[in-house]
Order: sequence, then C-alpha cells, then structure tokens
Amino acid sequence: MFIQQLINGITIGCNYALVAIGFTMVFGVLRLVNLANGSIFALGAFFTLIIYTAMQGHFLLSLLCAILATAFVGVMVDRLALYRLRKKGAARVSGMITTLAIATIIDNAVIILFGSQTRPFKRPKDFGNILIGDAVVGKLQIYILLSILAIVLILSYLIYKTKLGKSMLATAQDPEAAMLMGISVNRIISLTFAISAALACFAGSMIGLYYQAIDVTLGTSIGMKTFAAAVLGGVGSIPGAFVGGIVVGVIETFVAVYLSSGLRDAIAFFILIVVLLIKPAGIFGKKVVEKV
Amino acid sequence: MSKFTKFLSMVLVLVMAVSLFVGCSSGETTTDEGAQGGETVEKNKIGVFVPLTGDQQQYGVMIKNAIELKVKQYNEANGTNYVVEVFDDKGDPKEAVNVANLICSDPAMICGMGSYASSCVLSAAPVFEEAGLLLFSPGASHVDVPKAGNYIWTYAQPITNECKAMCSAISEYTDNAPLGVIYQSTDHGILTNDATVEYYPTYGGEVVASETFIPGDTKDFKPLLSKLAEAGAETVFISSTYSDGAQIILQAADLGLDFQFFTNSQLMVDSFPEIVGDKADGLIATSSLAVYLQTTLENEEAYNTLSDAEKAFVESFKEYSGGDNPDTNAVLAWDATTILLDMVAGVGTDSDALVEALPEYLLNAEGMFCAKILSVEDKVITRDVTLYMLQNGAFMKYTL
Repeated sequence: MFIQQLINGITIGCNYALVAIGFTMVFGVLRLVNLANGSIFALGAFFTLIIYTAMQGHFLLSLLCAILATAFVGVMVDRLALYRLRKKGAARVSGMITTLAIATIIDNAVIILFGSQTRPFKRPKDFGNILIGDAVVGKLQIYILLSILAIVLILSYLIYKTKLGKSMLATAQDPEAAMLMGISVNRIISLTFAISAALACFAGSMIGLYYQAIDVTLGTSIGMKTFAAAVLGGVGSIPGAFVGGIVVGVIETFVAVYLSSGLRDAIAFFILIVVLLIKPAGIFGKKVVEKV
Repeated sequence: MSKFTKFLSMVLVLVMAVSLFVGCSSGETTTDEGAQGGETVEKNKIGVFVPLTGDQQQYGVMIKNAIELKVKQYNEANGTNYVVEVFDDKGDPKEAVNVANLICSDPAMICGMGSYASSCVLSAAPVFEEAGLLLFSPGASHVDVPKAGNYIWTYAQPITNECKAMCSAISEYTDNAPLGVIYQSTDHGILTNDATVEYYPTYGGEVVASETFIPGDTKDFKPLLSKLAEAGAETVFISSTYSDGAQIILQAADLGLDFQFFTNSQLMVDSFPEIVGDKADGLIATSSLAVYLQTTLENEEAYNTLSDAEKAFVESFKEYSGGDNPDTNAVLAWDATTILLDMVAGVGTDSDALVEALPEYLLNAEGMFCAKILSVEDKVITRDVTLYMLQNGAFMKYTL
C-alpha cells in the first residue's frame, strides 16, 4: 500500500507543482499573489473539454488549442486588470484584491458558460495499468508524471539559460533597471501571465483526464494547496514550487491513509502555518532584506 | 329632521362604523369553512418557503413547481380557490426564520410547506410552533425535524430509517460481506455512517472501515479506497453527492478494485451514469422515493413499469416546468400537497385538527408516488424502500 500511495501522492503533487510554478512565476516577477490562478486552472480544463468534445477525439490538438486560449486569458487578466494598477503605482494589495475579483468573475463565467454540474471528461483511450509489486499504477499516471517533468525541465532551461529567461529574472529583480537595459517589462509580465495560465491549463486538463470529470469547484480546492506548495518551496523559486507541490501531494495522501481521511484537505493549511512559523522563506527561498 | 330621526341616523352610522371596524380587524377570527364558519377572512393560502436563489435553487424550484401544479390541478378539478404563496428562503436558516414570520403573520395561511434543507425547517420550526400553525415539510429528513414541535411534520422518512433498509439489503445481497463506508462530512453523511455502523451488525455483517471526505474539496479518493481494500472490505456503501460518488467508482476502477457498491437515492440523478459510463453497472441503490430520471424514462422496459398516473404526472410536470423531469424533491412535494389538500377537504383548515388527522391521512394515503408509509410513530414515518440496479446507464427496479 505504501508504494501505491506514494505514486498516487506524486501524481497529484505533480499537478499541484505545475500550478504552483505558474503562481510562483507571477509572484517572482510582480511580487503579486495571484488568487485567480485556481480559477484559470478550472477554466483551462473546461476549455480543453469543450474543444475536445467539439473536435470529437483529437485530444492533443484540443489541449494545444486550450493552452493557447487560456494563455490569452492570462494575458488579458494582466492587460485589462493589472496593467493599469501598475501604471498608477497602486499598492500591491490592490493587485491581490483585483485577482480575487478576477477569480470570482472567471468562476461565475464558467458557471454561466458551462453550467454548474459535473462534466464527464472522457479519456481518449483506456491506457491500462501496470503492476509494481502489489501497487497498481495507471499508465496514464506515468504519462502525466513524465509530461510534467518534461515541462518543468523545459521551463527551467527557458528561465535560467535563455535571454528571455534572463529578461524575466531581471524584471523580477528590478523592473526599472530592466527597463533601462532595454527590456520591455510589460511584455515580459504579459508573457509571465501567459506561461502561468498555460501551465494551469495543462495541469487542469491532466486532472480532468486523471479523474475523468471536472466541475467548477476544481479551482477552489486546488488554489490553497498550490499556494501552500509555493510557500513551502519558497515563493519565487521554480524548483521550490515543484518540490513543494510534490511534498504537499504526498503528505496529504499519506495523512488520508495513515492518520485520518478527514484531515487530508486541512493538511495544506497546516503546512502553510508551519512553514510560515519556522522557515518563512520556504525550502529554496532566500531571505530578502528590504531596503528602506 | 326630528330628534328621533337624528338619533336613529347616529345609531345607524355607529353600527356601520363598528361593523366596518370589526370587518377590517378580523385577522384573528379567520374562517375555517369546514369547522368554524361565519368569519370574514378565508383561509385558502399555502405558504411555501424554498430556496429560489443561491446554490440550492434547482431543488427549491422543483418543490415550488410540484406544489403549484398540484394545487392548480386540484382547483380545476374541485372548483376550489387555494392559493400558493411562495417565499425565497435562499437555503439560509436565518432567512427561513424571516420567511416563517411572514407566513405565520398571514391569517389566510392554512399551513407552511418547506424547505429543501432540514436546517431551514429546524430554524423556522419555533416560529410555526409559537403561532400554532402546521408546518408540513415535503422532504426534510433530519432526525430532529419530527422532534421540533407538535405542529412540525415531515413527509420524508428520517435518514436512519432508510439506512436500516439499506443495511438489510446489503446483508441479504452480499450474504453479510465485510462492508466499508465512504461518506461526506455533512450532517446527512455523518448520520448515514452512524446508522450504517449501528444497523449492519444487527443483520449479522461487519463494518470494517469508515472513511470520510469533504465534499467539493476532496477530489482524490484513491487513498480512501485503498484503505477500505486494506481493511478487507468487499462491499462499499457510498453516501455522497452524485459527482463525488462518480469519482469514487471511477477511481476504484482505476485501482482495479472490484467492490460491490451500494448507495442511497443521492446518486440517482441523470448526470451520474453520464459520468461513470458502464463502470458503475451493478451498483445497487435504495430509495423510498419515486425516481423519474430521463435515462430511465428513455428505457422502454423501465418506462413500462410506471403506472398511468405516474406517466401523467411526469408529462404534466414537464409541461409545467419547461421540460424538466420531476426529481425526488418534486415527487415528495407532490405527494405531501395531495395529502394536505385531501386532509383540508376532510377536516378543515384548523391546524390542531390537521395535526390530529395527519397520521391517519399519511397511513391511508392513496395514489402516492413515493413508497407506501408503513408506520407513523411519534411523528416519525417509516416507509417501504425500492431497490434499483444500475444497468446500461439506467436505474432499473430490482428485486433481491
């Protein structure tokens, strides 16, 4: 049972990790807690489902279209709601409250457009299982793990090894200095939102595929867990968000099995509190000294 | 004009003024056509309070439509003029108290009917009890509802009674196989689990594990299912909404766990087979309520098991509600309204008379769509249950 639960926990954790990476990227660049991330996650899953249903079976193509559409929504969130706040030099808390409002708008739009009922998310085919000892592991789980790992590696390369990534890091470090160096800060921020939304869409679609159903509460339940994952790993750190996501997924699975199933959804909050008390910067985070 | 004529005129004016005053303030001396007679305000309203906004709206609309339709048909057939006055309690117990005050302050009210959630009924109950007005809830199944006061009645049987019937069915069908329970962390789920843990051993079985989850938050049921398998469960009883129930069954299939699943009427909605496909075939559900799902109505074999009255009800309800099939709440509301109107025709509109007559009318009710009521003890209803098996995406009546 241990191996079975470990694999289940890692599968769920990888999805948390992907959303947490998007969350941490936006925070890293803008110092903004994006509370709309969970809602974009659910919206992305619905986009994939609707396109997949319309295309009658071309899952990968549907996923690609949905990722592009969700990335566009991410860019629009920034351009329509947050850009003006930045331009006016509004306090960071205004941005956070704005993302909360955006989350409400997206959630309600999903209800209006797609309905409040749970929608079946049919798998393109029966992937089958393999046995590892006594543990039954779905091949789909392995595909999800591998694809998420590949995305994280590509993203890490993009951010830490390319000029574009260096522009993002420079914007995160000092937007004004980055602008003086010829970096289009607004474009970089929009791109960050696009990547964050695209990751959320991919994770949402994988969750839909894994659970074979999606509903509007999908984003609500994952929102706080990914927040906890990002804080645990160190907000702003991509490897941190990845590790944090997996740790949260595995811990909540083990808590359900070995402690109490009633506690599993509370464990993310417990982790959040413990990290904030003991190591507020998180596992991979660096202590930042704010000059005044 | 002579002094006598003046005096007579003044007396007449006074008499008219007094009679006018009495007429205007006759709220406390209401007419009860069957019992009292002679007063000026006719008691002809049924105060319905249900959620018409918020996340329980869909259930409130079902109850409202069923009561309105029944009263409309009754008025047309009998030449009566009963009026349904509908109030929105938003599914909020605080709002239910406000609405209860509005109903109880209207002297034309025969009784109150509502709400969808037991919590709203329980919060409104003291208001009705103090006013001495009958509150006849179509579907509140919390065990505390019948205890909430002399004037507080429910047409639904308590969750615990239905669990008892379910435990009996599981015991008989599986020959007392080890049972695991997965239940949502709500009042309904907790009561269901407690009753299952209490009753299943009385039939000779054993509950080997009970696992709970938070509806809406918990999406991954695999750890819970693995735990049940580890504990030796061969049979699993699910107490959840249809969406969580579908997840439980799909994830069990993913893990290769071959449990025999049982459930109550909560999973008996059209969306459930849509999500699970054929992976839930063989699932057994118990319900003391009539179930008219689209998937069942489209199945010729299942449709032919319905009586002509049921077919007529489903058709008229669909027409009245713009194409929606009646759900279990609508069926309960329809039956409860039928009993109420028959009772009013028999004993009048006085709440004390209605309360006294209710047990007899409940036991002897004819033509109800829900299962027959077997007993009414201390205001608690026990009714027969029907077993259904999910086969090829449709819930079919099933006999052990």
